[in-house]
Amino acid sequence: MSMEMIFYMGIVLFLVSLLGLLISGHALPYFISLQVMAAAALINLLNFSLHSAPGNGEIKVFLVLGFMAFYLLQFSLAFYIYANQKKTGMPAAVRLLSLEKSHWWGEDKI
Amino acid sequence: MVLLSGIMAGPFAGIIILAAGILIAFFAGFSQSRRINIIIASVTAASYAAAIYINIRNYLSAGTAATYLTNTGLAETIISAALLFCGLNVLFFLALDKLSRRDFVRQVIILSFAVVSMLWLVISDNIVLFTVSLIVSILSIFNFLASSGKDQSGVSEYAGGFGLRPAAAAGFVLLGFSLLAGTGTMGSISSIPALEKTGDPLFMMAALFLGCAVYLFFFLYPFQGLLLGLSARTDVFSNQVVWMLYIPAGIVMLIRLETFFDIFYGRQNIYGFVFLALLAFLNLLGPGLALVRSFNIKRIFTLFLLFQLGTLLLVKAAGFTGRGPSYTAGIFDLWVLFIIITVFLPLSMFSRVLETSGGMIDRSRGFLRSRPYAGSCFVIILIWWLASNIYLCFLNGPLPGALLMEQGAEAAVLYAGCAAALALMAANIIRILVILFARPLENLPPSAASLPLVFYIYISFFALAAAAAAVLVFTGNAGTGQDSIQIWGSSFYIFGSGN
Amino acid sequence: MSVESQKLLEILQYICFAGLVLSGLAGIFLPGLGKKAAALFIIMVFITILSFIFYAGIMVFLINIVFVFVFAVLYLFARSQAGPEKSIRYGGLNIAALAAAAFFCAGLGYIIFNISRQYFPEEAINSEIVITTLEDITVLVFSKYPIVIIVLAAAALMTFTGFTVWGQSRQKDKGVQQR
Repeated sequence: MSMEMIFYMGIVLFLVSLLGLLISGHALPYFISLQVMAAAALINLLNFSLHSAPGNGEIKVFLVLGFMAFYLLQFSLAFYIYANQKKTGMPAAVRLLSLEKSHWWGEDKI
Repeated sequence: MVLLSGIMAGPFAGIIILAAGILIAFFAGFSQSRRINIIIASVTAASYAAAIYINIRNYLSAGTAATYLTNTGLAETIISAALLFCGLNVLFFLALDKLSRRDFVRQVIILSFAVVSMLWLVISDNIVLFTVSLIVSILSIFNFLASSGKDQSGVSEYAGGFGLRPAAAAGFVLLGFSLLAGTGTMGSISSIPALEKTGDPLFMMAALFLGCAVYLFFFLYPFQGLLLGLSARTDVFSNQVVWMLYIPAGIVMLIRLETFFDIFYGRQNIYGFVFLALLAFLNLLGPGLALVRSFNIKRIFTLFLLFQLGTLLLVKAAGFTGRGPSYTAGIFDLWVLFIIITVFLPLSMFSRVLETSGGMIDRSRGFLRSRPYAGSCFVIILIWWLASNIYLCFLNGPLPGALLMEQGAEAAVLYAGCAAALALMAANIIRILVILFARPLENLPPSAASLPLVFYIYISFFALAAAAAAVLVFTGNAGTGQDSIQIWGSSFYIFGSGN
Repeated sequence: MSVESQKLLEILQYICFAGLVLSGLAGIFLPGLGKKAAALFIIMVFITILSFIFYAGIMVFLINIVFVFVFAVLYLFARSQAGPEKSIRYGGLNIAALAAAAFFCAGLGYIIFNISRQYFPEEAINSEIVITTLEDITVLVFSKYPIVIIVLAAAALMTFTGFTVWGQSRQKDKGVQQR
């Protein structure tokens, strides 16, 4: 595959992840969308590392260390949500775009 | 000894002092003694103060220091001092609330680590260190919030969601930098020749994704629901963590990424202008409208904060008019950081005392009427907040030029929208003050009889500082330039090469 | 590299990309948390295969060491959740909102395609293939980025400290509930 095609495949993956982030109302599809976004970033990095900047060390280091930090963050979040799930049931508060009236006007009903 | 003095004269001295404080705290990690908690809190506070002193001293003696991964100049020194001041205040609030808790020392450790990771974010100049320190900052602030928040109805759900949003922002940062790899400019952030890359579509897409990351990080409209839901459900301390740690971390991220957004300044683009202007008006007018029927004091102050963050978008929209910015990249962001610190720290103290009567301003009717000193400090701080926004957005202007009509239709649109938003915000502030100064209703529960001395000392300090700053600006002895702070005739260039 | 090998790699790339897209969509749209967890596992498998195609298996292997923990927690979370499956599918959004999100993503994709269409140069036949080894990565990381390793290790320690606080508050809640 050419560099251009691989780049477009990465963009398709990004769009899938963006769709997931916009419509997710639960933590698990949200996490899945994050993985797909990470996959898109990974493909871009590997693509450019192979084709336009072969042997570029910065890309390799960024890939390893950046993604390790990203997955450490996700592990902490997933553990917190898993450990606290019984308190509130389904974590429905993850929705990116909220059309609830209380988020735009008036008071929140607690 | 020579090695130690060499390290303490270097750019990492402040971080090393904080790390030493964390190490000392680790020895008392599972302590359940209140006395030990007090000692650890004192040692940690001393380490924060020492770090502020050491950073300023090192900058004054050695000037700008650059390594392969970091860059420490005047801007970084100022921002580090501001973040350490925020951390000190959060530590103070933590000690006020939770000194007797069994996990107090561990919470101090997590807080200190959050401050350390934010300091790394400030001084990072390398893309790898920037990304890792940003993600670790998000992780540590979330950890701190999750471990220190009071368990109320629905808070865990919102706290978990609160952590997931910046995780998406981190994903956008990874994606943005992955596109940067294609332009061959992975490495130092400050050496990226932004203006030369304006024709590079990968660079522009990277800037777009990084802009999306910043937008998601701040919970700006229309993604504000989670932040407002969290603010109403958690205790005041959790809100203070968001206002004083999370938001400043986002502003630091924005300042560091300004190199990428620079390519949009000075380029006339009607589509970009319309898009950013719409977002800016949404974030300026949206909080104003939501405030009209809001009574929860934490929600009110969170809406104030969203409004303040909306002014950042206003300045970015002005950049698209093609006439060049009146502020260089970063200086306006720095002013917003100062405003947030000087306004929201005392406001968070007010929300603490109002929480004792339920946290709703209609239940606290007349609260300030019987406390005139506290009331006057509250009024001074709110006036200072409005006045500083008017000064930065109007009198100094997001656009250069003397007369309004000379600057064209885009400027008129921006000024009109900003004026409407400020007028709406002023009306909301008047409404809040009217309720808090009105005669109390007889059937409402009584407010707390006397306020603690620490409250009076705290708000007095900030009210005096605000009044002093307003007097200096009004008399022309202080002000802001395009890239400088002007005090008593001297200009201090923050981000340019003048320092 | 021979033409057959290149063709084989290309076919594998197409399969992996298609698999990633389909499993991503499956993870978002399929009802049932168990099925979503399975889709997540398939995403992980395809990413690993793709990394070998890009001659970077060792790098993704290092990352997968941490990702396995994330997957394990998410899998346990999916198994322990018991709820109505329909409402998890797309969180109760109506079709109009779903269509709007899909159109937005499609429009954004079209804009990105237009911006980048003329950018990529003619593909030169690249005879040099750089295969990354663990030694390359460790030499780079420990020579220029030791600070980042320290920050990451400290972050892991701080996360563990946070877990002890959460665990203690859970025990307190259990004690309160039992009384």
